[in-house]
Amino acid sequence: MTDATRKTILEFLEAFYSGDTGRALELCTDDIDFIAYAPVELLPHLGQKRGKQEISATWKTLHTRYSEMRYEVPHLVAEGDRAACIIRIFFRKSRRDRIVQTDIADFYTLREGRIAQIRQFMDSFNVVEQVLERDVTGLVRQHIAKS
Amino acid sequence: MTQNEHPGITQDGSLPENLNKRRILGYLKAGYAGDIERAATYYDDEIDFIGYAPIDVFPTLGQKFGKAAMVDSLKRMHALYRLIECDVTTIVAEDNRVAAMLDLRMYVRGSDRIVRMPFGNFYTLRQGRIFIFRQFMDSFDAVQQKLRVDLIEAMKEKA
Repeated sequence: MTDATRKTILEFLEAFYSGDTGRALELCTDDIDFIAYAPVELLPHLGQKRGKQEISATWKTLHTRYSEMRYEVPHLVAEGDRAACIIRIFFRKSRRDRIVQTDIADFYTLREGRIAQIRQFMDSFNVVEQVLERDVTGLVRQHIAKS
Repeated sequence: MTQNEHPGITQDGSLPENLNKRRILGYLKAGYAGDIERAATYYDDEIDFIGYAPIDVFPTLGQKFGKAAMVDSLKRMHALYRLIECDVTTIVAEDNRVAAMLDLRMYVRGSDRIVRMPFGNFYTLRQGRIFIFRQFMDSFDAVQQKLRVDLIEAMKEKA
């Protein structure tokens, strides 16, 4: 089962990041449960999403905002119907010629060979700064200096 | 190396199933219970750690090299929190790699505040010890909880 899980995850990542969201969705269960731990007020495509329809809409928005997506998988571990990986992503913004680059961490649970649950972690503070092009570190330093 | 010092080594030296998973569980138990001496036995001398969060707010995170730096981070963490409760919600192990998802509840010393946070940790072991350690969290939320500041409101005011 472990080899099949690894194969499914690698196929899912390749499909998703190459823009073949249809194929990526085929590899998920109908009731897929996705949580990305990040501030949804600032990054609305993250947070909790349930079911293929909601996931599909989110992924389409994401692929509209970024004209190019590249990825590397420096760490992948699979055991039975579970897997986890670190993904190094490079997203080129559609509106500006800027790249968002960060490492994210995904934890997957499969059911009957399809992805039923994804939990996603990232340095959301850094991602907010890159995506919104805002200096949040400066705000934090000001806050620390005042307190 | 004796079996007591490094659990999971069998009498004949073979590696039972999920040995590295057991090592990581042992490390987590020791590290969060404050048994720093025991936690340190799980570190490779050349451990390479990155905790993905702003070091202005979390000086114990960022990039650390070597056992001494990790021990110092553990000491500083336990100086900040009087109690750390850890639930391992998922753990996946394969060969020398282990990934774990944790729910932490950290009780701040001298106050009734509790910092709650899920973490995603990735470990690569070398000769039974943690050699590469990557730690992920919702760092935006972590900063807000640590500083007790609403960063979104602060960003609106600054805009």
